[in-house]
Amino acid sequence: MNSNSIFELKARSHKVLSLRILKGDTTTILTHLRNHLGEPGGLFKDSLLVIDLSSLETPRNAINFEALCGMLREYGLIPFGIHGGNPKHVQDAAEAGLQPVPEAFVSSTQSVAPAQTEPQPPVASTPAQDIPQEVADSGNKTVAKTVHSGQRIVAAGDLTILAAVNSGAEVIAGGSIHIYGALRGRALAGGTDNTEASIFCLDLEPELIAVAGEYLVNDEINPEVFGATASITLEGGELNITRLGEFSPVQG
Amino acid sequence: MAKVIAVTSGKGGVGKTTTSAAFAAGLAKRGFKTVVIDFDVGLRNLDLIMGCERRVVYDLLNVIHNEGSLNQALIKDKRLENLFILPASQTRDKDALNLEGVERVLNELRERFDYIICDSPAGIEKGAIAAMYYADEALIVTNPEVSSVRDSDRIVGMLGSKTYRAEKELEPVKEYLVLTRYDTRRVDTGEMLSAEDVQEILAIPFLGVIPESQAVLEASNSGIPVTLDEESDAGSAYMDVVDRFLGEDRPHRFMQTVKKGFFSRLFRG
Ligand SMILES: Nc1ncnc2c1ncn2[C@@H]1O[C@H](COP(=O)(O)OP(=O)(O)OP(=O)(O)O)[C@@H](O)[C@H]1O
Ligand SMILES: [Mg+2]
Repeated sequence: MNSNSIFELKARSHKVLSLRILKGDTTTILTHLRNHLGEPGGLFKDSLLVIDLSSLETPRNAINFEALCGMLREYGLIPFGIHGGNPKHVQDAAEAGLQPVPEAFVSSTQSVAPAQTEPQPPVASTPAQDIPQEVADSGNKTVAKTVHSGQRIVAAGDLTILAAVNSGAEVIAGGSIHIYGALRGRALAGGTDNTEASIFCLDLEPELIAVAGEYLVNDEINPEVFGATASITLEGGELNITRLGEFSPVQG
Repeated sequence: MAKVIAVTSGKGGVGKTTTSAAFAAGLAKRGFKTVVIDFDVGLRNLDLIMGCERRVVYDLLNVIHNEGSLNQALIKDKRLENLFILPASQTRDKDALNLEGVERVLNELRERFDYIICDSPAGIEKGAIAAMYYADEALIVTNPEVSSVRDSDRIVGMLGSKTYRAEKELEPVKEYLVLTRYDTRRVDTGEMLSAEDVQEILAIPFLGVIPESQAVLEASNSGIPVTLDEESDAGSAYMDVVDRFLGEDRPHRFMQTVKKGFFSRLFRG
């Protein structure tokens, strides 16, 4: 069987990838994925990945997300979200640490996997019906409390956090992210392709920041903007961090 | 109506059991009928710290599995009228802890006590979930170091999502920070985080610091909750925590370095 009829591995930028699964059970998917990608290694070093189930032709098949993510990680990919799928998929995926993400995170451009199989036209994306309400119908979202380690907040549109985003926490938006507190965790704005999106925070100490799939990790960030009130935008395909000032929290 | 209070931390060895014993004894001293439950199945040591290890016959799991009654398993403290202990089993594993059983035991206890203190095991797995699942309030025990704060932060997140109150969309579990093993000198040298730093990160109400203290070791070696040694620094710090929890205003102590006197400076060089 041609691997491309089972899944498609796509990227918009070269950073956030999406794996669109079309059919099959986990074993078939894993076997074909392995054939497709070849030997594990740093092929996609640290690339974030969304598993896209919105075009699944076998929607009743359960998917072993633990096994799938385990294998993706062997290739240096960082699976973090799913798109589409039935409620059981969403639940199983959550147990494997994957959060439902909006469509903005799913790439629809060409396949980037090693070209041992001939490219296939992308399958038309059908809107997913089973994404939890919270994600499906929210454009913008405001969260009033500190986002703690292990928590993940997702908004299809803009996301406003009226407190800190702690180390180990993740905030993800299709639009811009405004954090009225410290950013100590990860913030991913603009999905994979909204290059107009930006991130704003009062105190920049992040683990990772990304706009439209372009990202920087903590030790790549200029120490001069570290700890500053800052905005992060995408300019000419690169993240641009602007120091806006200094912020010190009020002790309560 | 009784309140269920989970004492939890994520990270191991930060002082959950010490805090559970001290806090429960402190509430009992203030006249509240209090029971403290050991959820650390397989590694029980609350009974040691409470000095009742030789009186354990039935335990929490026997009650959960209907192998003994609650009355048989509850141990009455010899020093404090209002204090009871429900020990953990040393011989079973955590899988024997089922949530339905825990709920039944807690409901029975709710009718007889003012406060039910649940001493959680370390980690974020089954045992820790069982201890926090039915909590109304939680004491987050944290040491002033990065890894402990990170784990506590994770626990704060879980209290907001993996508890009965969260799942049923009831009023959220009330969380309080208790910062233990606080050593002002190591805070001053920058080896440890300050109380202000930890409060800023966790962003939950602060009940106070417990100083790093020899009194804790002495109390636990002799099987006495440290709040019964009210003369000691740790004992009085825990009583302050209890009183603040009960709504009293207590000035914070043990957060400033004690300035060394002229002579000690002279002799220490
Ligand atoms: N304030 C303190 N000063 C000095 N030692 C302390 C203090 N608090 C706790 N300890 C010591 O730290 C050790 C761990 O304490 P404790 O057993 O209460 O932690 P725990 O969080 O319950 O551990 P576990 O995760 O294994 O259940 C014990 O030896 C205890 O005596
Ligand atoms: Mg303990």
